[in-house]
Amino acid sequence: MSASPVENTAWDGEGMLNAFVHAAATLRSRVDEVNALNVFPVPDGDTGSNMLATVQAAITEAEAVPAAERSVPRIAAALSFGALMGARGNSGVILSQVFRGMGEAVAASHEVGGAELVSGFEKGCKAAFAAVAVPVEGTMLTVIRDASEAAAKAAKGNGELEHVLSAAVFEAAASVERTPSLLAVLRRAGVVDAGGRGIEILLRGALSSLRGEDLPKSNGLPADLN
Amino acid sequence: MDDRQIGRIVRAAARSVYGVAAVEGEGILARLGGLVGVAGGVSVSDAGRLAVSVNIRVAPKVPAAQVATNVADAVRYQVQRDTGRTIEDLTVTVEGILLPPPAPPPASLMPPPLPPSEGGV
Repeated sequence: MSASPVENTAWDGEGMLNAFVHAAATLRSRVDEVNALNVFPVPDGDTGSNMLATVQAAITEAEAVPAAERSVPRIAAALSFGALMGARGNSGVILSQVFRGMGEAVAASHEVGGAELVSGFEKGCKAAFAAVAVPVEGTMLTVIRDASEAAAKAAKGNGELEHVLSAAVFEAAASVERTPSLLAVLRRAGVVDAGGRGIEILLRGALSSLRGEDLPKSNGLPADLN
Repeated sequence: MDDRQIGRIVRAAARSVYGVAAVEGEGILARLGGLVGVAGGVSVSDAGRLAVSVNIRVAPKVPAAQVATNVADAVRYQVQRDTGRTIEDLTVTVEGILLPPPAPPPASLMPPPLPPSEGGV
């Protein structure tokens, strides 16, 4: 994957796709950890795999966009459509809604800087909450909302993309640790929310892309999840 | 546990799934059933083998097929957990999309407010 010409300050379409690739690779390297946390709503141990499959479907759709056409709106639309078509499990459906909202937020943007990331978080969060009748606190929805609010707060002081994304990652991690205090089933099982941890890991992966870090090594998953 | 109790478990399980906007059947009787607290949109038959059908409406713009699959997983799991019974025949039907109510017209299209009353009734 080639480096974005605006790496570290803003993402162009290629940079945004690269961030998703890093996010997926980071989640892939820790997917067993996320699966092991899955006790809610159905304890079938597949939250990490479902999130990874959904993100991978988004990436596959975006990678089919010709290199010359990889603008932010085009890549965002492809990521959104790919996630919608490839959503797997509850966590995947939620992710598809977040990506849809994010895509709508940058539909007219040439690049994604701190302000666009905040707008993307806000619209993604709004879309995710719009599709649930009674949101349950202590789930990945809570983590998404907390990360979104932290990004908006950070952007008021410093609108740099890395600063805003770092704030979102930091708060996502803190929010994940709070999930057992909000959801009794997690507390009883002695775990944090699996989907929330998945969100934190995806954001960490996006941040590692922004910082030009290497892709994490695979954990040996089958080819369809690599 | 009777059919009605199982129906309530099914209904609660389906309603808890992300992307499900409503659990309801077609027709006025099914919807009235939902309003008064019985398991509208859910049918349970327990003549030897446990058969369940559940009708849902999904939120706009969610992947309906995946939401329906998630409903099936949640219903099977919660019925097994709460009753010890295994559902042998499960049907999830997506009745449609529950659209939000239309937005009010812009203020420019609204009639001007009436002048304040100057007495009288």
